[in-house]
Amino acid sequence: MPLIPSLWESKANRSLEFSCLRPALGAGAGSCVTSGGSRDAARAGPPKLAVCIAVMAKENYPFYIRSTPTENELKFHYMVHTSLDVVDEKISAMAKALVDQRELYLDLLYPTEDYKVYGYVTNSKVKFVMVVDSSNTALRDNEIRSMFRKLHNSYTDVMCNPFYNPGDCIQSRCAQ
Amino acid sequence: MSPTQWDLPVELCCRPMAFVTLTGLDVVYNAVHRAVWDAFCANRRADRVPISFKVLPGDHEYPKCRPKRTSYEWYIPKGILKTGWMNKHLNLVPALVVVFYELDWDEPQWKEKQSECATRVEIVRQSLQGRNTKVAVVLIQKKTPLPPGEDVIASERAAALCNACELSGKSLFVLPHTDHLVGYIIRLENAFYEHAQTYYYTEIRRVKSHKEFLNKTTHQLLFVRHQFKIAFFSELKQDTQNALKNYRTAYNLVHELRAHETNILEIKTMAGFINYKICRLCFQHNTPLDAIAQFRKHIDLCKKKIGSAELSFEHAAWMSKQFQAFGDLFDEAIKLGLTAIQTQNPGFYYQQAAYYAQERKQLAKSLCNHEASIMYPNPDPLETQTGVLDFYGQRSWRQGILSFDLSDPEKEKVGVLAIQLKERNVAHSEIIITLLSNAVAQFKKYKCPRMKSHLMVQMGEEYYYAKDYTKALKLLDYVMCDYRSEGWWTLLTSILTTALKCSYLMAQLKDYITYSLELLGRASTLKDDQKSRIEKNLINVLMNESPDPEPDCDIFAVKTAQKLWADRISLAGSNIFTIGVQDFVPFVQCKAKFHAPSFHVDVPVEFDIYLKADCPHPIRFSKLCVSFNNQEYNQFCVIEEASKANEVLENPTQGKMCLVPGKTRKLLFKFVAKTEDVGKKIEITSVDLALGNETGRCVVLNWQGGGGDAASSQEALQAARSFKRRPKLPDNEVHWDSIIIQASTMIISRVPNISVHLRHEPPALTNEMYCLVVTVQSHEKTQIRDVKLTAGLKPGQDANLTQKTHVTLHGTELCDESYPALLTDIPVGDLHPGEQLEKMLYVRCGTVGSRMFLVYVSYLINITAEEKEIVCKCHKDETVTIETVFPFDVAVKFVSTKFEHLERVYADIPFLLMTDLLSASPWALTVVSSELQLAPSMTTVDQLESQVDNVVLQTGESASECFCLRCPSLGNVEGGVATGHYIISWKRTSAMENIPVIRTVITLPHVIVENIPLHVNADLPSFGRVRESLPVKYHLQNKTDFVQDVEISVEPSDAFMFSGLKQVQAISCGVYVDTKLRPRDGELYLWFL
Repeated sequence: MPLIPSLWESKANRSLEFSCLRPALGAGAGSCVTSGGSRDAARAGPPKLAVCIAVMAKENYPFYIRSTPTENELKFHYMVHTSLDVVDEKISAMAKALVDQRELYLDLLYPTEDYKVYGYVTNSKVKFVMVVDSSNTALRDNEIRSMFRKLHNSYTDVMCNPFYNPGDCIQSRCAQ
Repeated sequence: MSPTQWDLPVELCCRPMAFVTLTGLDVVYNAVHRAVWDAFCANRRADRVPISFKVLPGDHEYPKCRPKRTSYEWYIPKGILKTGWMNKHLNLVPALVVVFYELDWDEPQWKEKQSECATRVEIVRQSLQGRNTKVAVVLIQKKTPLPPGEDVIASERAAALCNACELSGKSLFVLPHTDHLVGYIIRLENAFYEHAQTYYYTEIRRVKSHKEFLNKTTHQLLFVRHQFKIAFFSELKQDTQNALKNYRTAYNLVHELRAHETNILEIKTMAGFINYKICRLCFQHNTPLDAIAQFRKHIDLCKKKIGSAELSFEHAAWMSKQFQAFGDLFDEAIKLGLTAIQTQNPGFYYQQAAYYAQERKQLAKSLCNHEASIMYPNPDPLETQTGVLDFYGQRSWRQGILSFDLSDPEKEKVGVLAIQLKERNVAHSEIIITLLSNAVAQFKKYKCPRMKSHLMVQMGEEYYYAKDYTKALKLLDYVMCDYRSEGWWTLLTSILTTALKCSYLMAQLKDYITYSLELLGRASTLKDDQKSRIEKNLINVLMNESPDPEPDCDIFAVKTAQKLWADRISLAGSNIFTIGVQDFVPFVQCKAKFHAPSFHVDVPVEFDIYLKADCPHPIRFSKLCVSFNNQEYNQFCVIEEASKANEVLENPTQGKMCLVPGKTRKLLFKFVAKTEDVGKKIEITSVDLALGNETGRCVVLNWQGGGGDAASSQEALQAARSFKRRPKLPDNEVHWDSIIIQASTMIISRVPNISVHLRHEPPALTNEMYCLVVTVQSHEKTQIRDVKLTAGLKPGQDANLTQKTHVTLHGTELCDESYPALLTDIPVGDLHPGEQLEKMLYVRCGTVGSRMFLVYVSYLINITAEEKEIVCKCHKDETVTIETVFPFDVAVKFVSTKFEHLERVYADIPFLLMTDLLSASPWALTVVSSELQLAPSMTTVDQLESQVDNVVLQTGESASECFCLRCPSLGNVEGGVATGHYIISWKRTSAMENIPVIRTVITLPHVIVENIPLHVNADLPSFGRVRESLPVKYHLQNKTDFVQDVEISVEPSDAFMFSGLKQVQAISCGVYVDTKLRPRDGELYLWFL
């Protein structure tokens, strides 16, 4: 895995790093693994952020879940949890498709009045869910896609970390 | 303001139908009229034209028509739409008035009747003054009319009547009262429908004609009003396409109106009405996506139009209603055949409606928290003179005032106060719960279990707010397991917290304890201070005291709850609660583990119970008991620690039953298994851990099987997958994750301490009484009793072997078919320590091949285990595979008396039978005797004594015998002649005297017997001496019945010298002697050589 050396460079303190709320920017004290040099874009302001990001195991329990307005965390937890209904349905529909034609990105799961919920599923059925403010027009399908890809890369990095214990909740320093 | 203030008016929600009134029908007293009326109203199915009929008296006063305005120049509208308008055109102003009149064409008093009819029409016309309403006349006739054109009188009189009534011919109808009434009625109403459509068409034209007089500055409201009216008339005309088009225009016009705090409600109300109409028509046109798009646009446009901040709950209420109404429309469309999907179904709209209803509640709570002393204003500013508003969406205290400035701020204040006070009495929770349950029903249908659970949580919480704690608990309890099984602990914790509050407020002991247990557990994400508080409350409850109230509870509810708790304390009895943990995640974990998968019955069964507490403070349990599938062991596995109730938290680290958070406690149990359980499984069926004691309250946590709760299987799976290195712990401690539950063990019999030896000389020989010596020696330290031996062919082999194997203890007699293949439970007696016994077994194998033999020795012994005397049954078995072989091969051949091999024998000529017995046994064999039993066709030449008696044959040695036999002539026998049997009696040389001899019978081969004509018998001396004459005698015998010519020639051999007689020379010279042999005669020739 070519990812490993780079992982070590950025992890001198050997803590698990997992950046997700700001996949497109490196605002989190420069410790985002996935930002890939788009640090200047970070100054563009908050609209590029997802409101909530969650990673769920194959068995649907949360590995990692975090939302930016922390005061109403529970609402986002419920939102992510309910979105699994649609994820499940999409996965079961996808199971019929050929393996190599599978699209990991699940598209918009469902819109609520104020938020849009997007989904993504890895081949090992790890689910990523991202909640975006409905008014946030800066995030179009392409942006969402690339955010998911970065998230997936971050996730892969975490999994490659030998100090990570599979199945444990993921800790992220930059998101805290 | 009624509670249904936000409900859409009925006249808006119904399907507009052309309004036609019927006059001149006496439906009460006239049976014919009644039948006509019934035919109009009954069975109005979809295939009938959409008309709403009403029977009215002929002189009914219709709403007055206001005088036509000639100019709009000075006209300023007071509102958008009058509240009565829709109802007026649906139910009051008809499109057509039908006058029914009984008149036949051949009426004798025609003139009078005609004028009466004309009068009636005139009266109707009078009351419709100024309206475009059509009038039609229906003549109810008794006779069936003739075909048109044939009845001259009829057409004449019809024309006259039309003239008199000022009707066009198209407006006069005849209704013969005959058998085909319904058919006539349907034709009639179709005609009415056409008239009605024309009426609505003219109405649309009329409204449209006003447009040109309007100007954009003062008549903005009229643009909307007229557009709405055009659309509504189009709907009445059943022209839904145009209706939709006009409603859309109207919708856009509404949003062009200048909005201000004072008229925003009116604008929203109208926008809501028009939006409803548009969505409804879109669904009707089967374009649901258009409906959804329109609704989204509507919501986006109106979301921010909150209006007065003091009345912002009104906006929430209105929003909620918008979503609810759309949900209803969507649901209705689905019932009519539309298919919805998981991500687009009415549930989402109901959910959003519920969300706004919640917001309304919140806003109302903060805006309407007036003190009780504030009285409802008098006079009521919300009352109007007529009891209803003139225009939709206006304030009652300033109707028709269009100015944006508040002319009377005092009046405004009072009005707002009245609305706020009214809002306070609204049962918000009820509204929310209804909407949520609507949503639940939808999501259930569209495969959204999690959404359903989420909504049920909300419902539960709403019931909690509404102080219906029983229903709240029921709902919360129902969904908890979904979150638990998926491992969403934050959500579970939040639900549990609400549930705990409910159970506290109802003083439901068992629920309170259960939720506390789980909130203290590892699945709970509560902070430690919260956990400490809950733990303290739990201890209080167990000590029969009241817990502290949960935070954020309603003060009055807490007071009630405190009383309830106080009552609970005084109640005695039923203070033990058993809680099964398999369905939740309590704060104590338990794992049971047998030390081994099996135990010998003479050693004590040992197992450990591991306990671990996850609560913040050490906690002391009072009792632990383990239950087994065999309940007799339960008594041995109980730990009880007597402690006073108040000691639960004291001396926390002392004692076996005190658990320190995070530390694994191991408790060892031992018991001696019952001998009856040998070969059975001992299973831990449950582990019970008691907290508190009987004097206070006691909770018994019950783990099924060897421990584990709702979360532990997932944890075990994760621990198994994990490759995390666990830090080293002191020897007496273990990692919780590394403990694997082992809830059952096998009890197996004690290891025998005897030796079983088998002595024998393989291989076994066929049919022999094969001797197997079993030696059993006891190495036990005490006497063993009841030693039993089971020996023989091991069961489970080829069934044929059982038939051909026989076992006996008595070697002195040959066993036959009646003997068994396996001897069971032969009592052998008792054995002292070190004593040895020998038992001989005899096996007779009838066929060759290998067999497995089993020797199984069982015995009883008294053993002391854990100071308990038990009788153990031990057993030891040995198996041996024994090969069975033939003892010898017998070869038989026929030779002539000159020992030449014979293919066949000649009748009456003696021949020799030679037997050859080749030993194949590795052991020496003794041939006791042999016997030749000849077939009747054979005769012996000399006696048949055995020549091999008591011959000992080593391996590979053979014993031969020779018998001279003769076979008399028998003619030609197919397949030869039976010779007889050769019987060999034998035994092993090593066998004891009393072992019986085995007789092996060998059937001799058949021989072909042939008759020959001439038999030459040479009689030669056995030896000759050199230079002495050797007399040679040939004996020729004719075996036939005829004289035979025989020519004899003698050819001398070089080995002999001649001497003597002429004949010799002659013979030596090759002289032929011709003689004649007579039948059955022999002649003797003698030569000397």
